[in-house]
Amino acid sequence: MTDEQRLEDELIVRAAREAYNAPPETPRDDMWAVIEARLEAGMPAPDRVARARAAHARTMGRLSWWMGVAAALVIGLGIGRLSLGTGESEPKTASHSAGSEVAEPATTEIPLAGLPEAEGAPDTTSPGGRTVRSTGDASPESPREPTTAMRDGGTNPAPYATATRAHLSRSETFLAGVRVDLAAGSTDAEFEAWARSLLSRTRLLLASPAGRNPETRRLLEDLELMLAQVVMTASTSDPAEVRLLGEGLEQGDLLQRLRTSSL
Amino acid sequence: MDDRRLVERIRSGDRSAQRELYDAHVDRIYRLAYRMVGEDALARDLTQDTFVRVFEKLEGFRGDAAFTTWLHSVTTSVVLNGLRRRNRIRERERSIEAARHIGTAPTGPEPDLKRRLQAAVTGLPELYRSVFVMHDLEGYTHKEIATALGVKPGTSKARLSRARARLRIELQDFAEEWVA
Repeated sequence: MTDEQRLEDELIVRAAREAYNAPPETPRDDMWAVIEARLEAGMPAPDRVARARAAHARTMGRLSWWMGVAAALVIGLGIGRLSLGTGESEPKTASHSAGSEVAEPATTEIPLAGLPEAEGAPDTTSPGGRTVRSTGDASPESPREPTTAMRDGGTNPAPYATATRAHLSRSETFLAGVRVDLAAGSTDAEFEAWARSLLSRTRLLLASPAGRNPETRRLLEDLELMLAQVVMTASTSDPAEVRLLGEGLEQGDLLQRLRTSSL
Repeated sequence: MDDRRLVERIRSGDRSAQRELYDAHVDRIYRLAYRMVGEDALARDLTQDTFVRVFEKLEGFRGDAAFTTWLHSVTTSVVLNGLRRRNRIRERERSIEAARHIGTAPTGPEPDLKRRLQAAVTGLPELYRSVFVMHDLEGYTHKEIATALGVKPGTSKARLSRARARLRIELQDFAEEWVA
């Protein structure tokens, strides 16, 4: 090594001491507080802590996902309610001017604002009783006709009951599929997305007038729990959770209740 | 008070001795952790992990070696493992980030010395960087490094020499300017 190289080394080291990750003042007390708490709690160091941290991160990830969904639902419901409120006077005029009473359609669904519509846009019924698929870009010349739910300010439980029945039926089909797959020892990669979609809708229904009926509410809450478990199991693929989920589906009466309620 | 006495007091149940032992060594541990990871939060975590592990395993410390030697071997183990975990996560993030910038030309001025230095040291293989940071930046001896990393002192010296040579090449333009 030449003198020049030695000098270069010295200069590099001096610069690195100042510039490379120069530590701030040691946060002694803050760190000690954590160490003391961990020692008192008997929490073991790195390995298990790392696992706990990973579990915490997973939980937080799920939590933030649910919080996002919840926020979207709340905003969606708010927008939905607002739009229902503003639509209240217009439809009356429209239906009166049309001079005919709109029959309550069997296919009417609640406007699920803010929720990804997996099954497509909700159906509405024209004054003539013809079922049309509503789209967001309806022209001003052909204003979207109000649904029954819109006309009564969203408090009429009938459309919600219809939507709830349809949802329970779909959930029953889904969970039956999950049970069959679990029994066969396989899990479908699409389960998670499907379960998330159903879970979002379950929560929306819980927040809707459909959730005011105590019996429906209990069923929706049980369904919510089961779907959350499916989401969790699908995302972790933990064999213990898969087993628990399978047992829950086999031993519980949720599928039977769903079947009965969706009839 | 020397470490051996403090260790004895801790073993006999004196909780205040834990804090004394911590105070005696925390600066060096935190500084090394920070130098290695460059983030306060992670450096704190690793320092805390180190001390929790040390206090939990103190019963098993036989006292054949100096306490500091043992402490530094625990530290390097915790720090290097933490660093690897972090790098694995970053690597995944970087590949996503790199994909995002495909097709875009690099912009901005030539990186300044600090950034170049940062990149050059960070770019060293972990084996070399650990020794460079411990020896040249934090003043550990080759004997301490060798014990902490489980290698021979000669290996530590060789790694340092290679680390410096790589940095000289990486920072050649700056170094020549300084020397001139």
